[in-house]
Amino acid sequence: MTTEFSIRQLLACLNVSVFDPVIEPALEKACLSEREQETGRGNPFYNMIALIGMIFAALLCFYGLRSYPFAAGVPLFVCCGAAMYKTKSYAVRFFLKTYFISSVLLLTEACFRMSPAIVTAALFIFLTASVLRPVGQGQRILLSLLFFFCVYFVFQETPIAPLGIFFMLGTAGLLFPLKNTYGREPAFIFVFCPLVLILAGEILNVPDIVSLSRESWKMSAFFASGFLILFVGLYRDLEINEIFRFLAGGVALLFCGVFLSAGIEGSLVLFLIAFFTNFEALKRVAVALFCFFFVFFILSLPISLSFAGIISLTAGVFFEVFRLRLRQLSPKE
Amino acid sequence: MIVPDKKTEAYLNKPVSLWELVCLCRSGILRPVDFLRAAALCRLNAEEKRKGKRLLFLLSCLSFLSAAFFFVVSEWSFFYTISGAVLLALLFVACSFFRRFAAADYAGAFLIGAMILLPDLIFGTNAILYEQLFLWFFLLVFWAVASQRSGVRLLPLIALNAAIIFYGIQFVLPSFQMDADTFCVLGALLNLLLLVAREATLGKTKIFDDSAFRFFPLLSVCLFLLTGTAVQTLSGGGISFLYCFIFTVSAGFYFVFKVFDWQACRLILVFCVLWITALLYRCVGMLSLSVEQSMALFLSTESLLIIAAVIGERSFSFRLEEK
Repeated sequence: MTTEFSIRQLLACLNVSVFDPVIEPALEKACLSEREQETGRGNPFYNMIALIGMIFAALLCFYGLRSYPFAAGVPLFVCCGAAMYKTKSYAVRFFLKTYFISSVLLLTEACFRMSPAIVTAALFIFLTASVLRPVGQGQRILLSLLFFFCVYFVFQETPIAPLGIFFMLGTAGLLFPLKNTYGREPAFIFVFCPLVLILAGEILNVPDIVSLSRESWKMSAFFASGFLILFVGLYRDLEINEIFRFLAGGVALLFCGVFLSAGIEGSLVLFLIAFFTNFEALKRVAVALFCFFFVFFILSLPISLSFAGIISLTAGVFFEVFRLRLRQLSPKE
Repeated sequence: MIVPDKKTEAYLNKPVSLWELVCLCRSGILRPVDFLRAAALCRLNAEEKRKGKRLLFLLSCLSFLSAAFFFVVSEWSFFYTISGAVLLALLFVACSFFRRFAAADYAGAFLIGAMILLPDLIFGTNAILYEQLFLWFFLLVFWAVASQRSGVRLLPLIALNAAIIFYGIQFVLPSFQMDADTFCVLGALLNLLLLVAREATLGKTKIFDDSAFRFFPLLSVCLFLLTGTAVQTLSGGGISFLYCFIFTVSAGFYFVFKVFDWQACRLILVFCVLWITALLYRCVGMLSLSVEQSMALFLSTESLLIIAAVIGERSFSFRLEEK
């Protein structure tokens, strides 16, 4: 999303003066952050192919060396960590980073087997510290993922509360980017992971996770609370009738979650978040998640194939009518 | 009053993007509660509506397609009657009339296949699948020649490869006329000939100028050779690795130094990683190690191979971008 609005015009619209002495250090910080971003773009390994390749290689190495967690993990951790600190070449750093990630995964898993609670608490401390000070993007992503999965495995017997809380935290992080924090990556991971985990559970037909999505009103309530956080962010700019419509939409979402599938509800909430934050990629992911959850929902119903066809046809007509309605509204703009 | 310097001025005059909005909040210029308001200010209504319409169109198409799928599957017995065949023929005629639309052009190509394959399913004629696929290929050639779409023109090649594969599975391999390794090498050779013919006629005829006609035969060669290496890795014997090596070197040389094509180079790189993986698997299997040791050695070497490929690809790509 890029508009014709400049930053100066935007700040003027929001009554923020660039000549305010309080704003000056913040402006300098924003310029610095932008320069850092541009430096990152000069790195040939600052790329999706490189990221996927690195993660895949790190996971392969981790899986291969799982039988020797300390014998392989400690030397890799020390050597790669020390070498990464010294080296300046992008290619060598990329290489070392891959095996450093493998070593972190090996050691975390080994320690987690010995004491899950201590590892989770330590990860929480590291994650909080990494969110509050400027560390590498990769480090924040890795810490957030490790923290999420550690919490999930600790509370595996009762996963609803942690998954719901992660979703709420992620929603809040996306809708209210906090001052002096670098928490955008954890926010994405915390929003995505519960939905992806439920989807993976539905694909692999894991009974505990399928029941989370289909039979639990608690999961639906947690997803609906994401909608409530969105409402909190918007209610100042809404009129009374809009507030009622918004709340009615929230109740409809809750019913959708309770009676259809919590996954469908979660993906709809994710789409709304993406819409109100103008995030195109997030919108596409939300739509893809919605389609998957909808297909799994239809396949799980005890109905005939022709009735499934009628449901799909009705959905198609609904989308088409909605599209025609949008087209009718366009000339008035 | 503080006057912003040149860098800050340049920053302030930049157009707003989502990333800038987040940065404004993170750096403390905007309050977090103002983020949604700022995003609303930056939203381009016309653009949002255009994207929304596109998204809804996609969703409605998917819904209609899935509805058609469910109805066809539920009424499958209808296609076991003469009325079903007549319906397909009528649909094909309709597609021929409206083939200026992409959907009709592709649907026509698939309806030819449906009309060839369905009689066997309906009447149990015991027709041989590879013969049906060869017939589909010949009829598709006539359909594709008149088409302006490279995707449709590529379909005969896909049908031909499918026919060759089933010819191998149903006839050549069960009758022991040749082993799987040799069959894969011959399949690769046929696609290689197609590729060479395409490269030789490049610019002389417009039909095969599309890059898909380079990419698909190249992909087919790689897949045939990889199948050969997989068969060889599982059953032993053969010299497919040597063919893979020769193909990698010659194709790499051609697409790097003669006719530069970065996508083809990437495909050859992926192919190279895959056949070396098969070779590695075989080599590790020859060593007398425990299961854990073999797994550790194989997977860590494989990760090294992948990282080396990624580093090579990114470094070369970056140099190209710089040039």
